[in-house]
Amino acid sequence: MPRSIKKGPFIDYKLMDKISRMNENNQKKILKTWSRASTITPDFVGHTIAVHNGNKMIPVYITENMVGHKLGEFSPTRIFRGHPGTKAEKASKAK
Amino acid sequence: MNDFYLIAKVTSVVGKKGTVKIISYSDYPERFSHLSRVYLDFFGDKKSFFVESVKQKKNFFIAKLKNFNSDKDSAILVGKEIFVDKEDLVKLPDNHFFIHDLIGSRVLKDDKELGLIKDVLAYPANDVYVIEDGSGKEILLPAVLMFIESFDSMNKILKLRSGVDLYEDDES
Repeated sequence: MPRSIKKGPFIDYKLMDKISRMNENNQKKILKTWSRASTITPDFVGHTIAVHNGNKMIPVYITENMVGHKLGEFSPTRIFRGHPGTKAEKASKAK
Repeated sequence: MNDFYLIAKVTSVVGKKGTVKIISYSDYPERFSHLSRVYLDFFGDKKSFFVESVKQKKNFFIAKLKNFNSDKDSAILVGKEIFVDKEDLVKLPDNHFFIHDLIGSRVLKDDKELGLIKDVLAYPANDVYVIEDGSGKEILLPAVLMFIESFDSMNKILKLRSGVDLYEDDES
């Protein structure tokens, strides 16, 4: 059953407060949060939030297409690293 | 000495004419359509082979190497990893960097060294660079252009933008 519209999306108030302050001051820095259940709102777009996955704080750069999702979706608690291979032709894309 | 880069692995022989099934480890599977020379490891030594043809089938490839004309000839290739040399690496688009180039690079911010890139982790939102400073502490940095100014793969130097702060000091 979905969350009631009357309540609105859940966002950790401390996190929301920090995002609002950063938006007011036009500041950019990586915020740390343990609140994986917080919903991403349009205010978050362009910020980087380090979301705890039980082990590490994974930095997540928020883009428009993440709005409506939860922060935890982008910081997996389990990771498949693939089968070991030396110097495979793998590339990293800077978004 | 040449550096070799893993791109695929031979999994089985297909048919009687010496063709083999290969699975790609590369991020750029389209590279197999114009592959001419590959290296395979035999007794710890890389041997060069010419590729006669490569066809894509679903999520794998069927390849034919020169001088392997029967299923018995090709049986020796099963389980072998396929490498290319540095000259045959794919040309990357802008803002894409090879992970093997990134690893071991120095990370500079405002001409101050933060540490060396130890690993690159792939996460759903963005890749993450694991930077280890001199004291062994790890800093996780998202691979986004907001943070990255430039990457010099020849000198292995990653420069970060000066206007952007890294982690906040207080935690909530």
